[in-house]
Amino acid sequence: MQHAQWYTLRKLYGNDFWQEFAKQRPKGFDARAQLFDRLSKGDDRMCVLAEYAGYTLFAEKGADIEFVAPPDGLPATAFFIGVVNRAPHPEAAKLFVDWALSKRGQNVYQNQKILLYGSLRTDAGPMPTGKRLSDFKLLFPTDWNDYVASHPVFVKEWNSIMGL
Amino acid sequence: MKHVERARSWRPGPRLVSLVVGGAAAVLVLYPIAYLIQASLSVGDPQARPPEAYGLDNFLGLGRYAHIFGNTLLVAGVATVLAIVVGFTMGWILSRTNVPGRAAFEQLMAMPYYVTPLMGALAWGLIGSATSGFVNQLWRALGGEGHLIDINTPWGIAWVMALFEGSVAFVMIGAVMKSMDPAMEEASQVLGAGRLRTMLRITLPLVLPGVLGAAVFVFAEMLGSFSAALVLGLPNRFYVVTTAMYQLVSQYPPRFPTAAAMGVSLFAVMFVMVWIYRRIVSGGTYVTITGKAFRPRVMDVGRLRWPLLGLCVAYLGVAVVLPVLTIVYASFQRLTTVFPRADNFTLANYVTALSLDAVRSALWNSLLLGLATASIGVFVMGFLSWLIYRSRLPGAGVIEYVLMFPQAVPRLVFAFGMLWAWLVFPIPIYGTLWLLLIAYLTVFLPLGLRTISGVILQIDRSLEESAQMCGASWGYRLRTVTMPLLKPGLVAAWLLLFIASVRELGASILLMGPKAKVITPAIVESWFSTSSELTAALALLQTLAVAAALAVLFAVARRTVQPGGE
Repeated sequence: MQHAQWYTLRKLYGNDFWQEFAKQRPKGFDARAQLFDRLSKGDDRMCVLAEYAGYTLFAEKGADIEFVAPPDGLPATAFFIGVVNRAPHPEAAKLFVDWALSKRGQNVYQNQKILLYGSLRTDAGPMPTGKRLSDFKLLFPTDWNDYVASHPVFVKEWNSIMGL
Repeated sequence: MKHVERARSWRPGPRLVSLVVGGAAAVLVLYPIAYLIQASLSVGDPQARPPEAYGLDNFLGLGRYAHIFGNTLLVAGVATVLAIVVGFTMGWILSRTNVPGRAAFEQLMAMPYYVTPLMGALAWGLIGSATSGFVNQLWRALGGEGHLIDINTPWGIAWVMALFEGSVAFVMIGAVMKSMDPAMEEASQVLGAGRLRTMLRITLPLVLPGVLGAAVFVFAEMLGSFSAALVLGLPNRFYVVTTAMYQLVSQYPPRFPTAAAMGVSLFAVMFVMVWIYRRIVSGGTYVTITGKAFRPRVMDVGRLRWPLLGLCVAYLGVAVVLPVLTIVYASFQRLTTVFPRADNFTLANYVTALSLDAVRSALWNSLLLGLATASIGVFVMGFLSWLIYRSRLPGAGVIEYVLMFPQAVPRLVFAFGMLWAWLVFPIPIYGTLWLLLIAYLTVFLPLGLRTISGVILQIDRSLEESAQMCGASWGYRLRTVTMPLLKPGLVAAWLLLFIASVRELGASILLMGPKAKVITPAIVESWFSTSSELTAALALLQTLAVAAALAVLFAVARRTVQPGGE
């Protein structure tokens, strides 16, 4: 997710964006739980890599937080599943993929509390917050080869931003 | 005259035994270290195994992390000073004064050791965060501005480290004070010096070598500290070597060579510290089980005993009661605050925690691993201690040095070496409880050896030699003379190894696999992926389960060492 955010905002705002952002000395954490934990208690005023699923969970607990979607767009990345080339049970695996992409499966991915990942299906219904993915302007990496090739640059820059 | 030749059965000579034991010890201890050093010298593709090229670039590149090494020295130094001040003060109060309840307090001083440093750090995060910390919420409610304390600072991290990892300072200094001849203190008081002056001018200089040794040892331990810095340092971008290593190894792709170079550098500093410590404490005799032992007499401190009692109560309150109560309070809330509304209270965290398979399996694995580590450890370490201090084997000094080597290696660093070494081992034990067992037995070798050898050294050789003179064989002597005298020490070592195994984080967080989860790293995983409240419930459940197990084990241990309890 960090890679997608770094890549898409770099494309949008230029290669110097993250170096300028780093001057604010952002804090990095290992997972969204810590981000929203601190945000909900007032230890931090804003978190930038604010995963929508995390916001949903903490909003349901009654945390006094708002999700702000910038008009320029929200970085997004896909949740991948697939059948490996030497799967021990390939037919069952294909069945699972079919289910995951179906309306029923997408509703599970969208509404189960351990997932809460929005569906791109137009017939999937709203997310628990009442919003749909189509309500947001989403920024996806469009050139996948370029995205993958940028990973070493991302790692180096991201580590330096976080003080490592 | 007939010469009767008897067939002689072959017995291994002392040199062969020495070679086999020394070789096994070297493999166990030095194999991961060798891989750690190999990884640190890898300058080609960081993911290549074996390394494509060797060089010193990783070490030369550590200059950009100078601030991380500085942070490590800072928190270790401050934590050591705090631990020594607390250890000396509490040691003096509980072993040299007539404060009431000394025996009970001495037992209670071990309580912070049972509460894992991770739980202490989580609790103090809830107590002392600048905005949401309970203390600061109360401060602002009373009209204060800003915050009274900020636990997410080097001082806060050092405070938590000293509270939960510095109890060894009390044990070491207390032992020195107990064995001190009180005659000089009594002479000082007879000549008119007050209690405080006697403590500062007589007691302190007499115990200074022991205090210095404890300080060096504690400093070496603090250098490898992980839990407090992980929980309290990250929110302020404050890294120490161990947390930086963890981040470097956990990211994708992992930066093993850089992490290894950091680990080797830290290990080198710790090695020097431990060498200094051993130079300080070497020499002298430790025989006390003879007819010559003396009992130190306590000083009558008069009315001062009540404030000193208050100091003991305050320390235990801050070190044990406050963190546990905080965790309990947080575990029953949806969003932790010191002034919760009624609808903020919930049992949902416990319902979720009890339903998680990871909780049950982590608990079961930890108890199983603790039993195995303690049982195998006592047997192996007892044999090794006897071999080193009683058997007169050639090369015993070298074997001792090799076995005590892990003391100089931070546990997370050692675990990294084990990860790197056992990943390519032909037998697939990486990610299983077996690897954790091997790791625990290795990193706890110094702890077990130190505890058991301390008891062995107290037993005068003349007791065993008398049995030998009467014709008792080696096995008979071991069974009827040595083992009964060693039993209390072996039981104590067993319990110590069990507790150390259950509370361990640094050695297990890198080696835990998906089917080999154990408690303390599972709490960290929960803290990363759920919430403070669910993590608090999880930590409390697991602490209670371990406390229950310990209560059973202590009862069994008491029956085992009571006279006639065999």
